[in-house]
Amino acid sequence: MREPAANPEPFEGDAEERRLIDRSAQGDQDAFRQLVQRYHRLVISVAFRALGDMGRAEDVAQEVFLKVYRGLPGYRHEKPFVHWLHRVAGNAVTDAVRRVKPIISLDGLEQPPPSREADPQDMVARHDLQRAVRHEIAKLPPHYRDAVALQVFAELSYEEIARTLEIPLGTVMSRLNSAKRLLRDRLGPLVAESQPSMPPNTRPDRAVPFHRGQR
Amino acid sequence: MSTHGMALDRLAPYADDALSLEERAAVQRHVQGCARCMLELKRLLELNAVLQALAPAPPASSAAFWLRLRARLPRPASFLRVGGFRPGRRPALAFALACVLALTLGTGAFAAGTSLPDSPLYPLKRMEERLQLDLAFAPQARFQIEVQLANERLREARAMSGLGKTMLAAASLRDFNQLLSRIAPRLSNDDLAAFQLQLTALQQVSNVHRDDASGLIASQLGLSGEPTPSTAQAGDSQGLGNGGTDDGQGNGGVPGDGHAYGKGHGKGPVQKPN
Ligand SMILES: [Zn+2]
Repeated sequence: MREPAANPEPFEGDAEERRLIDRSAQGDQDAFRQLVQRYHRLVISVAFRALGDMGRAEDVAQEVFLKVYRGLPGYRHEKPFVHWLHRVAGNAVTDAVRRVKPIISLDGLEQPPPSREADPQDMVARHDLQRAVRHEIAKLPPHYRDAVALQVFAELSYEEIARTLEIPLGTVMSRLNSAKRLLRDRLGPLVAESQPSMPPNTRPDRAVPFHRGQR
Repeated sequence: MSTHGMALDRLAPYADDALSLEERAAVQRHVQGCARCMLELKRLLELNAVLQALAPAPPASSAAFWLRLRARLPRPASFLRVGGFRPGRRPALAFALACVLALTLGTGAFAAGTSLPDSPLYPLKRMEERLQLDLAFAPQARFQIEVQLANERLREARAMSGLGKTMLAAASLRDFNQLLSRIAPRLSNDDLAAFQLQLTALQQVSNVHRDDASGLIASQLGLSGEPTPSTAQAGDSQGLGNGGTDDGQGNGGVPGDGHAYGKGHGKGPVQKPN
């Protein structure tokens, strides 16, 4: 059973983008430069959220665009370029997170972190928590990981995730639900300790937490 | 599916406000009377708070990014055309270049091109850069490469300081300063501001190099007096990491340079007389 696809989002500059893609595929580097200019910020944001380090984020973004450049000759405009880009970026960043050796393990969090001069204690704790979060996301089973990476690192909405992964919206909901409960379990008390406790009947804010619009 | 099961399966979309109005109302009705779902929802909201706290990326220059990327795009043979270089005119260089190309292309991954100062491939990368500079005879081409290299040094400094390797970070930053003093006069204010931003992000390397660079940029931007090219000579000898793993090819005889990796730029035609 497949839910009807959400309305395809007409994005501006579609024809221009198509031209840039086709020319890039033929090796036109100036066209590719314009394509990179359009999407540089997007890919860097995804990578930075995933890695928390600008140097590594830029490295991964470079790999993403290299992959895109090599892959362009096979791109047939069957799906929006940005969806393809998100998938390439999502895979690249989670691969990169897995390659980064965690300095501390979740079990060893109470050990003092490697000394960082002049870092206030809570900054260190926050840093470690974020590192732990990134690693746990990267370690999720692939179909969970992809959905979570698109939500957390790429800040896509549920609908955008559905379109990007080409799965029904209901599936996105189920996957994110299971994935986040799993993630929450694995992160254990770390998460609760990191913030003031919430009143039990807190309602989620009306603001959509992740989706801040594309591009 | 039971109401409890239904609600439990939709708690994350509920917490993310991704449900339709009816679904949302149904989940809410159930959760208010179900302690287990309430607890699970609280846990998911806590997780969301952590996920949303992941820092957004600082601004980054797409121009510098492109310069670096362009150098890595598959483009067989065009590397040899940089600056009108003709193989044979400088046989030693051509040989060294061939070695570098064989090494970098051979791995298929351009590993040296992105390696960091704590990598065994790093000396190879610096050698590659040196060759690139040596081959760029046109001032504009050389300028562009130097901009790219300045960005690369900053990236290294960031990465090294992120790993707590402050000596290596300082070495990269010192090399950055040297490059900056050469390129600053030709940089646009936007580019200068972009460098300034990147420097301020380098909080862990709180030393004289960063201040030197900032001062240079500020003066170039006309915020304070004359440029201070003396920053380029901040050549204290620190940051000797694995520089010794360089096999020495093509960089003999730069005694007293004092730069762990700075010898990379120490003998090309672009050397600024100190
Ligand atoms: Zn329940």
